[in-house]
Amino acid sequence: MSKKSRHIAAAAGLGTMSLGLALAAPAVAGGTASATPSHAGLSGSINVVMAQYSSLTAPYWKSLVKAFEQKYPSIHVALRVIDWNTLLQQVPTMIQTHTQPDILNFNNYSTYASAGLLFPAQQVLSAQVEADFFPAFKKSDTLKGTQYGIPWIASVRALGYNKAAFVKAGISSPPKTWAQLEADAIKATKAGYVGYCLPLGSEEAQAEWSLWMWSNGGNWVNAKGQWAINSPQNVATLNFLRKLANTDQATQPNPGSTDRTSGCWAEFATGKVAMTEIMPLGTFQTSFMAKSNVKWASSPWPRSSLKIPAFTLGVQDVLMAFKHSGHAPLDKAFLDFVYQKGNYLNFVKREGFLPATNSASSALKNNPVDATGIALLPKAKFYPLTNPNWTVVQSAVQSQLGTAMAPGTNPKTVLDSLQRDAVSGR
Amino acid sequence: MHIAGQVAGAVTTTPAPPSAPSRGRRRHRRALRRLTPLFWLGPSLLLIAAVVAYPAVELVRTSLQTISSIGLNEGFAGLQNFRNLFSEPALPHVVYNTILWVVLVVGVTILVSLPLAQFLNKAFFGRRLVRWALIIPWAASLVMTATLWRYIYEGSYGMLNAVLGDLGLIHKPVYWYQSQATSFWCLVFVGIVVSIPFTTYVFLAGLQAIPRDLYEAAEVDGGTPWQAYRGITLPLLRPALLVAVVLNTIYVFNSFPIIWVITGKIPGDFTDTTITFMYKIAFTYRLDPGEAAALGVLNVAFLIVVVGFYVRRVGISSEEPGAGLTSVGSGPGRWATLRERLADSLVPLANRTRPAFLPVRRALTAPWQGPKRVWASLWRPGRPYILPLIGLLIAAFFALPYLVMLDSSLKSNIDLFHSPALYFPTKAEWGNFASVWSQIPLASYMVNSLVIAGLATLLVLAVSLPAAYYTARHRFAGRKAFLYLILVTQMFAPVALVVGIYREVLSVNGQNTYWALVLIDSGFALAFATWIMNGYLASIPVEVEEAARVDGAGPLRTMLRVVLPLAKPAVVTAVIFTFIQVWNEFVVAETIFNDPTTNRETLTVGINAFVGLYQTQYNYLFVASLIGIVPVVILFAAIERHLVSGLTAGSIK
Repeated sequence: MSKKSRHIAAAAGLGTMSLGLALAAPAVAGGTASATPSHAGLSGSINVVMAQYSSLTAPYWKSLVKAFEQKYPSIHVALRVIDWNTLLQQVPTMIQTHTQPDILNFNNYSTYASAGLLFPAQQVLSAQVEADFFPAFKKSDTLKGTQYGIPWIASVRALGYNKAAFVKAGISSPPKTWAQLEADAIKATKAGYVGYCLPLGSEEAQAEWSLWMWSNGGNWVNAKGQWAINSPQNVATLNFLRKLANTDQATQPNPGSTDRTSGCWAEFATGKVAMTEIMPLGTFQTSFMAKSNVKWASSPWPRSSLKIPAFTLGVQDVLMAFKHSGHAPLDKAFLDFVYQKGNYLNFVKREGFLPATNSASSALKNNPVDATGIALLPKAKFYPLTNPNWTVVQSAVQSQLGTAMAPGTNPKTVLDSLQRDAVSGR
Repeated sequence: MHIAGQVAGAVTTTPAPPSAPSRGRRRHRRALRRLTPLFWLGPSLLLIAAVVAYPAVELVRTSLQTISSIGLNEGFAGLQNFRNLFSEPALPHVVYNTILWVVLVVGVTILVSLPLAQFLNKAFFGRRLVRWALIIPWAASLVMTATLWRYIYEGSYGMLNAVLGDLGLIHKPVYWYQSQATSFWCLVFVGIVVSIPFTTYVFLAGLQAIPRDLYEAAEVDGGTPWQAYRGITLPLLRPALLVAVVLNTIYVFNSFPIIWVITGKIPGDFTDTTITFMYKIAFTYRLDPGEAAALGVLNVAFLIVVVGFYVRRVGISSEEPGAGLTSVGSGPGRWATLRERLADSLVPLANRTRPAFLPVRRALTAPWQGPKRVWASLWRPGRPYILPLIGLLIAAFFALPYLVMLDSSLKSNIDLFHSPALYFPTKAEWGNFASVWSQIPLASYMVNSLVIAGLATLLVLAVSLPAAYYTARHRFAGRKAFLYLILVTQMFAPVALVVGIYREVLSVNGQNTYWALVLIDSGFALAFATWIMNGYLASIPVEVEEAARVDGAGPLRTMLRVVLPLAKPAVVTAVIFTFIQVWNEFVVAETIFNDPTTNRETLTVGINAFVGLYQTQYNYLFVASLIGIVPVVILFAAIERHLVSGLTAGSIK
C-alpha cells in the first residue's frame, strides 16, 4: 500500500512540475524548444549504468555527469560505464542480487517491465522529452499500453555493395529481388569475389535473420502474436540461404559461424566481398570503411517478391528506470538533462548512431550520411521487443541458428528447437 | 572445520615438557596445544571460508532455486534444475567433449613435458634462452594467448593459412576454428601448448631433486640408460608426476578462456566442455542461472571424485609428516629410503628375481654394443651442436606465436586483415606503441595490476607460510583434511563461483575496491603456494631448528629466522606463481573490479576494450598484451634459476 501511494505522490509531483514547465518554457530567453525543465530543490543520489559503445563513451558520460552535478549540486550520480559483453552478463547478476541501478542502458526492456521492475517512461521523463521521440520507437517500447522503454539510439540496415565488384561482374544495378540477388552473387563469385557475405554467427544472427525472414513475408510471430519461428515461410527462407551457401557456393565458407563485423565487414573493407548487410553509418562507416579505398553504396533489402512491401530493420537500444529505490524525480532530473538537445546530439554524433528524437534528427539532416539512415527510419521494422520472452529468443537464435547452415543439417529441426525455446521462455 | 583435533596430544613432534607440572597447568597446556594448529592454519582457513566456501554454498543454494532469465529468484525448485540439465539435448556431447579435452590435453602435455624436462636438465649452450622461451606462454595471460591463436587460425587473414599456402600444403583457406571438422583440435593444440611450460618446470624440478650419485651407482652396476630411467628417474619423479597430473587435470577441466575466446561465440556446442556450457546456460544459451549452478555443482563433484580417486591410488604419503606433495622423502632418513627404493627397482632387472633370464638378457644386449659404440662416437663430437640446435627449434616453437603477436602489433588496420596474411607489415606502425597509452588508460591498468598482484602475493605468502610450515613439521588430527581442503579449493572454477563472489562483495560494499580483489585472488592462489612450500619445508632437516630452539627461540621465530632463509627458493617460487596467477586473473576482476569511469580495471580486463562488441583491434590489443607480458617475463627471467631449485624439494646442501 505504502509503495503504491508513494508512486501516486510521485506522479502528482510530476504533474505539477511539467505544468510549471509548460508555463515557464516560453519565458526562457530565446524560447528554444530544448530549454531544460527545472528540477531545483531535489537532493539525493542515483546509480546509473551505461553501456560502452566505444572508447569515447566513458569520457562522454563522465563530463556529462560533472555538468549535471554542477547544475544540481545536491544530486549525486554514481556512474558506471560497462562494456557490452560484461553488461550482458552482469545485468542478470545485478537483478539476482537486488543491486540494479536506477537507470540502465540496455538492448531490451520487456522482460524487466513485465516483471514489474520498471517505472513507466512518463514517470521519469518530462512531457516535452517524451513528445520528441519518433512514434515508431515509442510504439515498440510500449507494453500493454504503457511505455517502459526509453528510446536511446538506433541503427538501420541495408544491402551494401562494392561498386568495383559489380562492374567487374557485369552487374548494372543492385538486386531488388531474391532471384536477382542470387544471380548477382553467383556472377560476383565467378568474378573472384565473395558473392554475398552471410553473417549468421552469434554476434547478430537475429538481425540478419530478421531481414531475410521479413523479406520472404515471414515473421517472428503470427497474426495472433504467437511465436511462429518454425513457420513454413521461415523454413523456406532458411532453405534459400542454404542453397545460396551450399549449392551455389556464392557466400563465404562457414556462414553459420561468421560474425558481421570481424567476418563480413572486415572482408568488405578489403574489397573481397561484393555484397553484405551493412549499417549505412555508425560503426560500419567509422571503423571499417573510413580508411578503406573500397567504393561502396547501399540499397534497400531485396525481397522474395516485389509484392512484399519494402522495409528496413531498425535496431534500437533503450534506457530504462528501475523502480526498486523509488527515485523517480531524481531519474527525471537526470534523464531530462541527458536528452537536452545539445547533450543528446553530441552523443549521437560521437558514436555515429541514428538519433531517436525528432529534434536531433532534424539537426542532422544536413549530413548526407545521417540523412540516408534517417530517411530509412519510417519504413523500419523492429524485433518483437514487447514480448517478454524476446530476451531468451534472441540468445537462442544467436547461439543456435548458425548451426542450420551446415550441410547435412535439417533446418526445420533447428527452427523447431528455437520455437520450443520461444514458447517455453527458457 | 574440525582441524583443532579432537584427540588430545595430537601434536606429536613437540618434545614432552622436561618436568611434570601440576595437573591443572598440564590440562591448561593441553587445551592450548589442541588449539595450536588453529593458530597456524587459521588465516588460511579464514581466507578459504570467505573466498571459496561462501560462494560455494551460494552455488549449491542457487542450484536448488528457480531463477528467471533476468535474474529474479522465483523460489525453491527442488531438483528441477538438475532435471532440466539432464534433458538438455547437447549434454551427452558436451560431456564427451570434456572427457576428450581433459584426457588429450593432460595426456599429451605430460608425454611431451617429460622428455622436454629431461632435455632442459642437460647442460648445453643456449639453455637459458630455451627456458625463457618456454616461460612466455605461461607468463602471457590465457585471454591474450587465446586471442592471438584465434587470429593465427583465422580463415582468410590468418597467419597459419598464409604459411601453409606458401608451403603448397593448402590451396584455399581453411577456416580452422570456424569449421566443425577442425575447431576442437585447434583448441586441444592451444591447450597443450599453454600447459607444457608449467608441467615441464614441475618435472624439471623433480629431476633436479634426484641426486647424481644414484645414476653413477647405476652405471657402476652396469645398468643401461633405459634401465636407469625406469629404475631411478620415473619412480623418483612420482611426486612431481602427481603434482603435474592433479593440477593439470584441475586446470584443464576448469579451463575457460581458451575455448571461450576462440570458439565461444560460434553457434552450436561442438567445442563446449561442461565449463563453457555452464557459462552458456547462464548467459547465452538458456539464460538460466539455476540450471547453470546445477551444472557447476556437478562439475566440482566430478573433479573431487576423479582427483580424489587418483590421489588415493597414487597417494599423498601423508603418514610421514614432511612428505609434502613435491618432496620425495623427508629428513635424515631420506637418502636411505631413496637407496632402498633404487635397490628394489634395479635389482629385479639385474639378477635377483629372475636369474634364469640373465644369460638370455646378456645375449640380447650384446649385439647392441656395436651400434651403441658407433652412436657414441658420433654423439660425442656432435653434442655441442646438436643440443643447441634442438634447443633453438624448441625455443622457436614456443616463442613464434608471440613473434606473430609483435609483428601484428605493428600492422595498420588494413594490413591486419590482408588476405593472405602478410608476414611483415607494409609499413611498421611503431606509433601503435605510443598511441595505445592514449587509446586506453593503460598506465592506470598497469598500476592497478601491479598493486593487486603485489599485495595478493604478500598476503598469500603471509598466510600460506605458517600453514605450510606447520603441516610440514607436525602430524595432527585434521592435517590430511587440511591438505585435501586446500586441494579442493582449486576445483571450483572461478566462473562457477562468480555470482556468489559478486553477492558477497556487494554485501561488504567491496565493489571496485582493491582490497576485495586482493583478498579473493589470494584465496584462489593460496593452494599452490601452500603445496610448494609444504613440500620444500618438509625436506629441510629438523636438526637445523633444534639448534635454534636450544637457543630459546619460539616456533614463530624459528620459522622466520631459521627456516625462512633456508626456504628462500621455495618462497621465490611461490611468489612468482602467485604473482603470475593474480596478474593474469580475468573472470573475477571483470566482475567485481570493473569501473571504467574511475579507471578501476586490471590490465587483462582493460585491454578487452580492444575486443569490443564490434571489432577486435588486434594491433592495439597485441601492443597492450606485449606491454603487459614484458614485465612478467623480465621478472621471471631474473628469478628463473631460483624457480627451478625452488620446485626441487631438498636441494639444500
